[in-house]
Amino acid sequence: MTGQGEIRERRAEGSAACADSRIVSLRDRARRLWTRCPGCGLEVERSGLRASLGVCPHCGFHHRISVGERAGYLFDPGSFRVADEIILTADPLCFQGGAYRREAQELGREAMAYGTAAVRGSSCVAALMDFSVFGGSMSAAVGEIFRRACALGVEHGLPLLAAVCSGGVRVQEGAPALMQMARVMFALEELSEARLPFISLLCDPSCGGVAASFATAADVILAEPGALICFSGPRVVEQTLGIKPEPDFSRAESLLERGLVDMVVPRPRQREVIGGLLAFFSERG
Amino acid sequence: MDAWNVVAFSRHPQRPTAADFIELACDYFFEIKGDRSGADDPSVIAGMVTMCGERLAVAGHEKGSGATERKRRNMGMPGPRGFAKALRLFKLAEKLSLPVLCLVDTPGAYPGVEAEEHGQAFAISRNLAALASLKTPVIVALIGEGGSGGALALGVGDAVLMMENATFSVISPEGCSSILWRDAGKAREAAEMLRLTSRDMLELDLIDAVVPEGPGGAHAQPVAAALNLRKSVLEHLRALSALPIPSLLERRKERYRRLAFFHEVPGDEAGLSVSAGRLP
Ligand SMILES: [Zn+2]
Repeated sequence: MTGQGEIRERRAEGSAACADSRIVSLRDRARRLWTRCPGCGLEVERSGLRASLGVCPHCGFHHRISVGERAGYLFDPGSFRVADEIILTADPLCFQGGAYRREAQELGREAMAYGTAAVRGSSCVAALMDFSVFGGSMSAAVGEIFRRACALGVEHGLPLLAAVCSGGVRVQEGAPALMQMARVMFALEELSEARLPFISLLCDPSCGGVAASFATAADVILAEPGALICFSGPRVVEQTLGIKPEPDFSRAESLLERGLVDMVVPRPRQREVIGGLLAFFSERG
Repeated sequence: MDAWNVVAFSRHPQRPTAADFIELACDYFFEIKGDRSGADDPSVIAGMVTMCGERLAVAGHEKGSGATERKRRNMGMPGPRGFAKALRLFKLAEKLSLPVLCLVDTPGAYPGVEAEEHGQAFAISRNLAALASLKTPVIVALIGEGGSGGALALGVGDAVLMMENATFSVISPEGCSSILWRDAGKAREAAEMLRLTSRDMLELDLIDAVVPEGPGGAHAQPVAAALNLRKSVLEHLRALSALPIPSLLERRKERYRRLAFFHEVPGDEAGLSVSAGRLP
């Protein structure tokens, strides 16, 4: 919050409880309407941010968006048909005495949704990652969802588009989740055997075991501006080496310079670029 | 022995490394070097061996023995060039129809700026894809630490063997502890929760066999441990070599497809049902 808010908060300390709660509720209201942009530090109105696809009108910073918002701007209206099966964790480690399992079941959804969709009239299978579910981490359920997305592509002869947003493999599921890194590669192999293209769109963040498996195994790799794309994040690097990496460390733009991704595409251009690719792919003999 | 003791054993400075195993269990060894693209990463050791008359291609993480070697080998934490060296070996093995033996022993892939700049994630992904479809038998032996994606990049195959006191985990117990409790000091508790020992891995059905190390562990009995591992490798090799390549690849795909560990709630039903754990 702003400095003004802090001053008001301090003044409120000695005053009556009702005034105190009124200020808190005002601040909550402000927080609901406004958010500070990590790119430029300015306060941005949330409604305006939604209208601009989560791109900061001042600096172009790409804010994290929900699966619904992503599908909303990327796909032709009403074309995203989400698979309706609900796949949840079997909590293989019985982590924290079942506390993790309860949390996951209460959420009732996993960190990836998939289905068929169309971009500018060209069909594909889309797999969209959801950062709000355990940081978009890859659980055994996410591995299965990705496998089914590949299988759906093979079944209908459609290309696969994955929008990646993930901190890595889900720690709460240990080695069984780690194994999904291999499991998804077998699924992609079937897509390759069917000669179907795979496009990945790497959003912030695309890290750890997700970066080191299907995310970087695509035929065409697109990235959102400023997205962190790496195996080991800046914090881990700093802890190991004792040196803070540069701010542009492993960001989409530096990966483009090093020949690791094909294109950095701002959100307003993604429909055009992805639609163009899908149209090109659908012309194959 | 609790999980934390096993972690200590898996990291023991005198624990036999991949190079020790090659020395103790193999007759002939020709080591290949480099990624054929500008550098050699000594944290990966790779080459062609004979073992009791069988010809194999071997790739492993190499921690090195002694302080100087450990530093030079970077504690067996590869960068992209190390993974590329292993990939070179996989392709060579496929060309020559040599079965592959992977010796996994790493705290993880090296978390460095340069490693990331050269595409650490991409290198691991490439190895996973290559192992998934490699047209030759692949036997994985987890001989020490099995740290996350860096371990898995040399750890996908038709049979996975695990030394009694080896570990395999998505994160180090210290890392898990600091994530969960913002305190790296509860590593012993985290080690238990992560189910990273050979017994846990067998119970979770993630490995095919546990190789006994003898009393006191592999660092006390390096020769016995190496010979036990060799015995197990040869047993699995015989069974796998009998399979035609298409069946082998189908079997490998099926092996990983069965690592399911999820529940499915059908869209039109309320209760939890269907597939828990492995798929039928
Ligand atoms: Zn901004």
